[in-house]
Amino acid sequence: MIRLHNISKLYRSQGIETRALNDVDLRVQEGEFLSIMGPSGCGKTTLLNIIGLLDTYEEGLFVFRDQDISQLDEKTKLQIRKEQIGFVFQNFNLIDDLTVAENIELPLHYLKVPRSERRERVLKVLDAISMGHRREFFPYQLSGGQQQRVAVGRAIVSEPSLILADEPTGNLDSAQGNDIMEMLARLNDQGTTVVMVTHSAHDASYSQRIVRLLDGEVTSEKKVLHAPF
Amino acid sequence: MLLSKLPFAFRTLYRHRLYTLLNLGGLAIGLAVSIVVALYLHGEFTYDQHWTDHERIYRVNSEFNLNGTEEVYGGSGFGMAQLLEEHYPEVEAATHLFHLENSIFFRSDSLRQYEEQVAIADAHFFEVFNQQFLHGNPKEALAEPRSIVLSKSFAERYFGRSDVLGRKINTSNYEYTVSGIIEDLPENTHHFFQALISQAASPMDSHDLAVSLWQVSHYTFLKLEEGHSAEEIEAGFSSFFDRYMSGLADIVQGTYKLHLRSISDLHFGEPVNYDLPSGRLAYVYGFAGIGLLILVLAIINYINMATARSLKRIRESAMRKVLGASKFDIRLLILSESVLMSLIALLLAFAVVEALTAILPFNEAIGKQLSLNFERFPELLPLSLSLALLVGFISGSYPALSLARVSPLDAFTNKKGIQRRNSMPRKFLVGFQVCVSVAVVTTAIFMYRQMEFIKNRNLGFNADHVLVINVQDSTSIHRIQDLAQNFRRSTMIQSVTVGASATGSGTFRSLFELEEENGLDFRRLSSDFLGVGPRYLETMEIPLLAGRGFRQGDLEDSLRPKVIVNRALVREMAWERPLGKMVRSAFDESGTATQEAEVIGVCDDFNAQSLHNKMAPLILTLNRETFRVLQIKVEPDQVYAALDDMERRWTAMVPDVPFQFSFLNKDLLQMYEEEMRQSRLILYLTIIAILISLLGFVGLASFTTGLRTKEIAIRNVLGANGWDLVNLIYKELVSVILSAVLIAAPLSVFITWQWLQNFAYRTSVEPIIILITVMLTLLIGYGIVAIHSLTISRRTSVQSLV
Repeated sequence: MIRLHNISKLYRSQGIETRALNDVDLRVQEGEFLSIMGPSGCGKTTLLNIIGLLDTYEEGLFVFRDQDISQLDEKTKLQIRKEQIGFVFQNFNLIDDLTVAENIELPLHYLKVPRSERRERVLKVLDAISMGHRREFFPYQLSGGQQQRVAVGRAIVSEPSLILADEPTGNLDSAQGNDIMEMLARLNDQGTTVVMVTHSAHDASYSQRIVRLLDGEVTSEKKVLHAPF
Repeated sequence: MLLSKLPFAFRTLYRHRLYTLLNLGGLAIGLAVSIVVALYLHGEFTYDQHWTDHERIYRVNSEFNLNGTEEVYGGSGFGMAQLLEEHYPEVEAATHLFHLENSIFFRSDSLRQYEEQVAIADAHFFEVFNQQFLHGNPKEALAEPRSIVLSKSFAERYFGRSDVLGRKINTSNYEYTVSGIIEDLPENTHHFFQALISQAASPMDSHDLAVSLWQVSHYTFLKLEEGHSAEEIEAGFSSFFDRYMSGLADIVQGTYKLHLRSISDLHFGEPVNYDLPSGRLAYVYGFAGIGLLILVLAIINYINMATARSLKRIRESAMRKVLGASKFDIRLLILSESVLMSLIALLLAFAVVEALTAILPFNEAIGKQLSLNFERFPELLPLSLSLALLVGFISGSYPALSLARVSPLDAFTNKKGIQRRNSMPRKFLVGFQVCVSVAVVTTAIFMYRQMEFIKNRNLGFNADHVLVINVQDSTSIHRIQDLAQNFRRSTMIQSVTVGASATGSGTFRSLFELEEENGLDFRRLSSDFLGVGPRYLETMEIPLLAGRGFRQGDLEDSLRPKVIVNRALVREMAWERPLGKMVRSAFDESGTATQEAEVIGVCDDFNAQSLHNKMAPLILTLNRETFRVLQIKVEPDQVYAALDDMERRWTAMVPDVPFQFSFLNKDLLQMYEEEMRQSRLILYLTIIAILISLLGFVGLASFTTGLRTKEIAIRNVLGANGWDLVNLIYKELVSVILSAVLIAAPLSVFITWQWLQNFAYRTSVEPIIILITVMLTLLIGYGIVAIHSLTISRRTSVQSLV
């Protein structure tokens, strides 16, 4: 699904050049659950942003579903992003002025889904994330865990094939964190590809493969062995 | 597309009520000012366009060239209308009009009152001016002598209803029959009247008519046949001149040219002699300019506040982008909010304007009759709607553009620097606001000081506790001296004098011959003179420097006329012994003076005219024929008792005429009505400008503190107290305020200086006032920043650091 070949990302600031990513090679298969780990500043989030078409790269080749991303204009990238990719952030990034249901509905607006269908799909998602009883609440009226559940709901409402999660449990306590990880794992079971950046070995254990980054370079890759029970 | 965003925009505005209220207030004020300006401009620029066929109606202006001096008059001779109509087939109808300058005393069974704006017209008036008749026949209304056509409101005042055809109404001299009732003329009528009296028909022969063309007595109006232009009449005037005017032209050695001015061009026409007061384009543009400025202030304000708030929306719009919103979507969202806000503000603005014009004494203050009348000004609604949309669009576009530009990555990685780099345009905008406010405030202070200066200036006479009674009907004019005598008997009255006009209201000018100091020669001098009566100097407390004032006995002694002169005249003539000097006047055709008077006294200089003019040489004359005004000095502690007593005495002597008086002090201030109006208008605008700028300042302060929430939290943790933070934030604003003030100060000095040129006596433009305004602005700015940052710093906790 995703193929990164020798991707490098440079930052220039006051004449000093910093390499955020250096010759990164990475493949993500359809239906895979991948974790990216590494210390702060190693380039995890940059890598995730490039995969999410939010950021650009200077060198290398990035192929998303057989399309060379460097050949695409902003409009097409926007189209891919809204149709195929869902995002989950550490600090939720819900819109304060919108209710739970409206936050979830938002991506469908931009996809120009008709109103009746939007309503239907939102109800389904609300049900899936068990937030039906809070649908008219505003984000500030919810706990962190509930907010993140809404964020996940928003990420999946457009039924994307890829979910990118940046430290999704970073602002949650362990019970809430487990809850979110269970949701992501369930989505993955249903066929959605998940790429997650995390510090937590526990969270990473939900994934099938872990890529470790250090100073912008991939240092190791290993399969996660799941206990049978 | 925009419509679909409205529900969300509504919600956002409702959720941020305080922000919405502040913004709405600013925009509503700006729009209200614009609407008032639009009403004002509409009135000014549609003068006389309410007449049917106004584009075919012209007034005859007369250009006389006598003895080499060229003078243009707004009026023309009595016979002009009739002769022009006879001579030119292109003239469909012609009429003349005469405005009565004094107020006329009217009485019906239910009301007796002085009325102004009464005119006399010939029978053809309504053939030229097609005013709607509610009752009566326009063709016959002015045909009979002693008929009167009343405006609807005039009729209702005197008879309680408008259907009063055939009823009688009296003035102090005549009885008139009501022959027609017309709709009230709109205020923007150059030749305005509320009652029209028929011309007493005394047919003139053709010789008299021709002679009358060389005098200016009436206003003549022509209505041309369709398809004919004023130029045709003017070009063909020589045949008229040859036929009616050339005979006398040789005798008086003069020439005459006729100019036709379109009726709708009179209001802003070039000034001519004997015209009615006309509009001043400079004021109109000035007013429009200030209105526009306030609207700009309001827009800037919105931009400032919206940008300040958009800091909090950066993440929101970034997230929307991540979820698939395009830049266009974001712009549309922000614009829909500002357009909605502007439309609500428009509704509010209409309410404000309605309150201003219908409830508050705004019209009185600016001397206009503005009203929110969509029928009379049908373009107002579409105009203000488009203005509101435009304002909404302009004010929303900067925040819309800047929010749509922010990339999600920058927003999520919290790069606040991106906003700080953008703060320059905002600083400029707020600087502009402060600049305008400071300029307006300083100008207002200067104007206020000048008006105070005028109020308190020593005029050279004492107007305190002096009552003025203007006498206008023939009965009381006839008995004016008896009235004065009667008032003098009251113990509550110190002194009474009669005269031609109230002190300070102006003088007349004439040519005099004055005896030189050597006693042999006479010098011709054009000098001001003022007709006064006995005891004038005592009543007005004007110091007598030599000789004596007029006494009652002088009135009887008509064989040896006497005059009093002021100090300035003595200086002008370099008289060492002014008493006994002779003054000649009233010259005949051969240029010889026919009257001679002796100087019996010298008084100190006083302001016989308004302070717009310098104190000039003045001759006080004594002529009982000119007496029209009683000036009465009452005992200071018995003013009201004296008024009662005077009314009793008045009613006993002239029961048919109501007792009407004014205080000289107040009358004097009315001479500065125009300036008072200007300074009042400036005061209103000042308040508005200050209000809006304060809002703008709040916006800037919240923007600056919003940018530095995290920094404030860190400094808090490290031990900074609230005031340290206030100073920190304020440092950034000081430069904005100071540079604004540097531009504003000379600007306001310039404006004030220009305005002060209207006055002969004026205050100085003192730097200390500018300094005070600067200090005040800095202080107010500090206050706002302090309130804002102290609140923020108390609220900011370690959470901002997480």
